[in-house]
Amino acid sequence: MKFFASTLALLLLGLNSLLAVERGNHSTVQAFAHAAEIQALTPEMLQMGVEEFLQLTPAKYREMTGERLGLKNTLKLKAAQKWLKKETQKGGEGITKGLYILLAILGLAWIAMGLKSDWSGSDWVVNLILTLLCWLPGFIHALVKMKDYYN
Amino acid sequence: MLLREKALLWLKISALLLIPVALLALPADFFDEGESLCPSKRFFNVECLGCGMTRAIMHLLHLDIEMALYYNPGSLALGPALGVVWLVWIFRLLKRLREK
Repeated sequence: MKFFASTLALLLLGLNSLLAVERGNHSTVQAFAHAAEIQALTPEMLQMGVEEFLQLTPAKYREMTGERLGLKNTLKLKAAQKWLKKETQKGGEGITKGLYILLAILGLAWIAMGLKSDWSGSDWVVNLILTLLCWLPGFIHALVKMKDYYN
Repeated sequence: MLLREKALLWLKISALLLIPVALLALPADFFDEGESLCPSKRFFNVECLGCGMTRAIMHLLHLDIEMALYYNPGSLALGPALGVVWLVWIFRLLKRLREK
């Protein structure tokens, strides 16, 4: 049992560091410029780091550039942030949709969710709790949340 | 009894008049920081239709339409509607007070 637990922990740590390296490649918003949502942004926003961009509000933009963002650009900013947040949450490229479903059937969807979200957010904790309530709630939750991790 | 009812009505009217004034006196970004209280956001990380409405209405009250739109586009419809309901509420209470 102890051996199984330590092997699982090592496996999770290894996967996590691999995903961290993968994620480090997308440090600026420019790296996502292939998406229509990102192309609609102003050049200043494209030069920003992903984390910084996700925290950006029209007020902060006004402070930064001295210009108003405008209503149309505010909506574009919001749409881009929503898209980018989803995209960065996707992570865990190693876990395919099929594997995710298989893990969900086995009652281990919380592991897939944790790896996908880099163990941040509450999704995996909620799924673990729901899975402990006789599997079915956790399975349903995993299927409902699947759209957040896959297109 | 009548006096007590009148006092209660005055209290309600005063509260209804004071709440918007108090919100206006506070800075527009007063509610911007901090964790969301919405259960949908907290437990499932899914934003509901009302998420950001408090912050949006606060910015709308301070006539910062950009920020209101950013936090919740629905606030542009709900904010004025809330204003109308608020005024109707005050006028009805005033009418009841005059009838007493």
